[in-house]
Amino acid sequence: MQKSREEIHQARPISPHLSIYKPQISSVLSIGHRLSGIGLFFMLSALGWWFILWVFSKFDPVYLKVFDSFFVKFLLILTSYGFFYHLCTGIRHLIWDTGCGFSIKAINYSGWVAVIASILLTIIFWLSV
Amino acid sequence: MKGKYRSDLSKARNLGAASSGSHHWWHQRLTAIIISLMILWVISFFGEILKSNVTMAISHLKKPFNLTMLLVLFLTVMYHAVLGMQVVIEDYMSCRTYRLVLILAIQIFAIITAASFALATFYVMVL
Repeated sequence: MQKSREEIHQARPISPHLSIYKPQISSVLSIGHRLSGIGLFFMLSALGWWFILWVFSKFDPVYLKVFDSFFVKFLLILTSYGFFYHLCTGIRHLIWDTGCGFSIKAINYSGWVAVIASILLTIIFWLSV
Repeated sequence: MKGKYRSDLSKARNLGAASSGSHHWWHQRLTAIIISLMILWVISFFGEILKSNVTMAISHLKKPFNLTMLLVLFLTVMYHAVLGMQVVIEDYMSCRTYRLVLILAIQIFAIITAASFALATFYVMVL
């Protein structure tokens, strides 16, 4: 039986199949860079508006109560990790922009350096405050 | 001299309808470098704020250097974030209408937020 044009289109392979694709340090960090960037945009907006409202209320202490909640504290720690992660992988992207570090070995190495550095930076930051 | 022997078609190629486009890419990198250079101040400022009580935090915030840096940081990060969100939307949103509406909405939101933030930092000084 002859296939319709639509069936042929659907049967054609689409690449990449992310759900069956083996996760690799390069692809996972790339997705993480985007996800952390999106998350940081929303946190920047939230914290920015918190600051604006707090200042225009002449430093009303009511606004400080938000930070008593466990969820908000968790969110702040997550945001700090997202920030350090985005910073480390971002510096990696800036190095790539100069045309350096594109061998598989260098990409894997810089990837793990970025992951470990971002975790260490987060831990050191919260231990020092 | 260079353009003399080129055909009209070759001159028009790669320019696109807007005759530009690479400046988004370039501004993304420029703001990334500016934010990276500010990292030592960012860590020390927020570390100090988290360490101190409210009165100390406000007096720390009121220092003109810190206020200026905070404003520069916020504006640079907001611009960087808008450019990044635009790339993400352009990559994953196939409907061109929704894409345009969403990007415009984010840009308008960012301008209002940035302007309000700037006003707030000025207001901190007179409080």
